[in-house]
Amino acid sequence: MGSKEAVMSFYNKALTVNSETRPTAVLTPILAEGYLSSGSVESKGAEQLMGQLEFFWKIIPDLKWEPQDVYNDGDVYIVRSIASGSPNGDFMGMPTDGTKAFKIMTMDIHTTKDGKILSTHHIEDWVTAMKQLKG
Amino acid sequence: MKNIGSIILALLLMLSISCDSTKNLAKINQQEVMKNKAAINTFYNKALSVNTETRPTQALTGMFAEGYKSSSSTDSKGAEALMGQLEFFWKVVPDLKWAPQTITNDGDVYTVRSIASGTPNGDFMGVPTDGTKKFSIMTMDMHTMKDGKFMSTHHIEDWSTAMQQLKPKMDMPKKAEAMKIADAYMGAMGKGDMETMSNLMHDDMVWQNAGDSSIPWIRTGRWESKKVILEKFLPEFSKGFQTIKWQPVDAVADDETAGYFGQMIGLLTNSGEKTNEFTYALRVKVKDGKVILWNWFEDSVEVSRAYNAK
Repeated sequence: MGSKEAVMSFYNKALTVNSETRPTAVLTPILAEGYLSSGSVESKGAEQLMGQLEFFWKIIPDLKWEPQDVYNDGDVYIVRSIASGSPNGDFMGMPTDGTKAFKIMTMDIHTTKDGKILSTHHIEDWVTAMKQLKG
Repeated sequence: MKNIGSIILALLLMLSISCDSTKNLAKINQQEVMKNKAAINTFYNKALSVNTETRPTQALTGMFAEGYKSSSSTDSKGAEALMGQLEFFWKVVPDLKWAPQTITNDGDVYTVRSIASGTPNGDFMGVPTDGTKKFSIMTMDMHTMKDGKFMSTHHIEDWSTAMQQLKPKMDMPKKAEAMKIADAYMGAMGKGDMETMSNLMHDDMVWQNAGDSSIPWIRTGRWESKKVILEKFLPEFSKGFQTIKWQPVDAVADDETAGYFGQMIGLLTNSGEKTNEFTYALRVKVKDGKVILWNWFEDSVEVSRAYNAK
């Protein structure tokens, strides 16, 4: 698998709920050893990321993460997406019942090598999601 | 022979012109990239970072193409609105700094990942601040550039983290130790953060929840040891029970014990049946900074009814 294919499967098969596979099955072969996913203040490894996505699938059964732009500079892939879904349960400390949806922009910068993702920097516009789910 | 000589000469001339145009094109591209990068440098260092040499409007005027739009998840603003917002940021965040960490380039698009930091003083996005608390967050921008001008920008800032960093400390009595640990454990459960959960569990932890013994995560009502809870109880529980509503209403605690009281609704995945809303209580005990007892009191008749529903 090429690096771009690995990056795309991250969105289409692991971040978007589908009936063919599961996040852990998709990500296990494409995240390199020592993989780190970094937000503003914390980083998580592959196991933690897969655990979080399994949880997302459970609580947001219609979760979709649709790439809008994919850019490439050397080994780096930059993806701007629209993430959407209707959580049902305790979502980031907010009680939800599946009747409200969020739709937000996200951006990720993936560093890749030989078809594997070495690291990711990510931001999601969760402030807007929380407003949409409250309102 | 003379003709062949002329053809070769013509080919060499064409090749030389072609090499020159490739070189010129590369030079033009290089000039374009330099112009674009200089504009990006100005954007972050002179307009987004407070400095004494200039002002956002002064630094940015003339740098946006006609019809420029800066877009976030839900709204877009033009050049004037953006400059107005930056002027306001300079006023309320006098030490604002927007430091690029990486710049990547693909065609006309430049992606800039930065660390934005500052100490706001005043009403900042609805949070009252007094210049004593600082935020430091990651931001990403995708700029489409042409000839040293910004055509459009897509941007995200991690304001969710900034708001947490800036929130004033509540004037509440110091939270009891047991509640701090129980809250952290519940928060990790809510996020599916197994590593944090595992770190907060005492090796001898007991998960106690009496009820219908035919339900796989209840059985005898007691799961003893961290290992058993992680390897046997939690997989069964997370497979079979989905929390639809979980609303703590009251809590009491001292340094060893915390009690929570609230309302909840669950979905039993084997039957697809939701419980009616019921009142729960939770008793948590801590030892050596870790959870040693997690004792649920729920409406076990209601949970059993939903589990056994057709």
